[in-house]
Amino acid sequence: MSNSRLFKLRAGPAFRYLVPIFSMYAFTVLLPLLISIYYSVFNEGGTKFIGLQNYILLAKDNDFWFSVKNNIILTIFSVLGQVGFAFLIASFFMTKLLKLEGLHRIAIFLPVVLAPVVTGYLWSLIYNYRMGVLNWLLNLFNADPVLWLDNPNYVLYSVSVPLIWQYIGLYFIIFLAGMQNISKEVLEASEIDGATWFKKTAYVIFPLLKNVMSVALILCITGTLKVFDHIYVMTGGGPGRSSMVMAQYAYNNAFTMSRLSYGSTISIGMLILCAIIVLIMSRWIGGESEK
Amino acid sequence: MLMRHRKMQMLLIILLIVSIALIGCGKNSSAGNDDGKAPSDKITLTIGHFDIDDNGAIFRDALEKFRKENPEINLVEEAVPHDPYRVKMTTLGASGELPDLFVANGSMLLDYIPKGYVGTFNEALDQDAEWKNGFLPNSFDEFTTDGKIYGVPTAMFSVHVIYYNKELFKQAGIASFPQTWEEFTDAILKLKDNGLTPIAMGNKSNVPVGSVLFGTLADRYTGTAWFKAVKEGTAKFTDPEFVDSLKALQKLAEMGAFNPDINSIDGDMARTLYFNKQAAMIVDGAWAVTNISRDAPEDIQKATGLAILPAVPGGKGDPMSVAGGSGWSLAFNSELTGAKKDAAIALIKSVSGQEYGRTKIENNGQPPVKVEEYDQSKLSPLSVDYFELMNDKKFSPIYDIQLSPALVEVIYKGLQDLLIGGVTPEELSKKIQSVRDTMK
Repeated sequence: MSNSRLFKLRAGPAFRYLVPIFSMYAFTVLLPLLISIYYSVFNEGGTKFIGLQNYILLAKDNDFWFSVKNNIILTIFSVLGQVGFAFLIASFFMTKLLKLEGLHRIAIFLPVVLAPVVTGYLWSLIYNYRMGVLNWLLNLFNADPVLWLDNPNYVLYSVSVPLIWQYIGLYFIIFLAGMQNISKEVLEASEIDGATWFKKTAYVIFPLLKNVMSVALILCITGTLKVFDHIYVMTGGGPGRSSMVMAQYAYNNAFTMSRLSYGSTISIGMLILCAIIVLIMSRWIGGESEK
Repeated sequence: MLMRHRKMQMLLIILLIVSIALIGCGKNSSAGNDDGKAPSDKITLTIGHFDIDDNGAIFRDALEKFRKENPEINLVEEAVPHDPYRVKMTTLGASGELPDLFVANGSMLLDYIPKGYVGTFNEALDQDAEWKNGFLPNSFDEFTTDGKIYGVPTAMFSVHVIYYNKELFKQAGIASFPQTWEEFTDAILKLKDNGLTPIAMGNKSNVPVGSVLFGTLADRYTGTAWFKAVKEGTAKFTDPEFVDSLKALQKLAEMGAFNPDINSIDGDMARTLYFNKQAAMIVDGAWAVTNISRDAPEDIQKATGLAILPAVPGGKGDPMSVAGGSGWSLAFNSELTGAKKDAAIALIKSVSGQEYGRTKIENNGQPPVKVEEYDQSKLSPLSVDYFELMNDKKFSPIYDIQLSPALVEVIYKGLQDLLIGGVTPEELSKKIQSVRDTMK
């Protein structure tokens, strides 16, 4: 009795203090979402209710599914690149060989604080055909210059590199924090038992980091599925549609083609797809950790 | 005591919510106040435009002059660069919050007219015959729907001019600019053998190739009548003439006529290639006359000649025509009435009349009005060449100005794909037609 009363006393004001934040959230997230749904069931210009017609169009839209495919490829790269590399680097930090730990940490984390647009411009200069650093390097080895952002066969790989480069630091910090939480006794015990660095990482650290890993994976997947800024700055989805992603496609439809209701439909479709993928992922990860 | 405490809390929270809500509405409510409570007689007009660079100085000067002559009008400029301007206007068009006056092209007007956002000029033009008759023939075409005029042209020019370097042509053994398609492709190969980029273009934003090159190339094959038929829905993009024009562009790309990084650089970078003598030709609109006269090194300015695409074999189009027209216009918001509307029309007159036209032509611009007397010595040699070149030319439609934005996007993005071999001409024509079919 006294216990529940105590809870009530605390919960009441707490919720009331949360009201401003919730209303802010409603204004910036929920309201736009509802307005998008509203737009998507009307025709262009918003004069006539057309029901799910836009969604049927979307399901048949070859370009949309092409951009979904690109998004999924980018996500696979990002998971391998961002989360994978970050885990490796973080586990190197757990060895005692590393000198100047602080400097390395800053260097790896620095790209995270750059604005995505800045990263995009930076890398489009690096990729530049005539004066880019990459082609200059190739030139030193007497190799032919490469059209990094013009060739549809590998433009998607070219744009994924800056994306990976920028966010390694974020997951690195998450993993490092997780690893520092693992109690020293466990690690020392494994060392006494004669575990090498690889064995220690694979059989002791990795299983103990499972929860951190699932958070990192979910963050990485949702982050990459909604990627926009990098692509917009570097290629704008081009050449043609070869580096088109869902967000860019929605933007093009709404703002350059002036098809606002179809653009809204795409973003709702994007939301649904992301929700499904994340749901499957979290089930999968959650199911495994129960065993 | 406790109750009062709670009440205070609730009050604070409600205040917070209300203040957040009010911040959200801030812009709307203050705009509303301007209309109603502005001190008597002071009229506030907002004007949206993108003339913020050096080329737009004449327009800004004219606005400044208008301000001085009409102190009772408070003119507020909402100016941003060209590319963001188009995005901004699409967004404002979607929410119906256009400025009082704005610069609009035909494609934007096509978007706004059915929504009833733009006012008509018929009455004002009929009242002022001198103003109306000053314009060049056909200059209102792109802004007229069902006999109603929705915009007053700000310029009239060709969007397709080939600027070529005579010296580099001579070095490659080409005596004069090719007159037939075969000679043209031969010239491209010769220039290429000399280690030059034959044609430099920057198509990152995917508009340039479509607008300044393909529009004219397509017209060579299809003729202007076909374009009109497509707009009415009686012809199709899958027609062989149009597919032929796509094939011609593809062939040019395949033979290496363009710089290989065409899709990742912009127009300025392409112009730099031309200025550095790395490229023998650039294809650009008439506005590049101003740029070259101002920015190019002296020897390049002297060596530059102007030409247009030669006739193509079997083409139905007039080889003396180039894509061009008025392009941009000044339009006003249909919500304007009374004194505000009169002020808006007066402003538009001041930037489209004889006097403004004279200033424009003397600054190497291309005004939409017949300018009777002007000082030819003020023109750059390139400008004189341009007016000479245009003397016997006719204007054919500009795709991105006459077609709706969705169609333009699909054609121009497709052309980018075509240039890198990502799509075949037949596939692309089918795709364009399928988008055309979704429109009424």
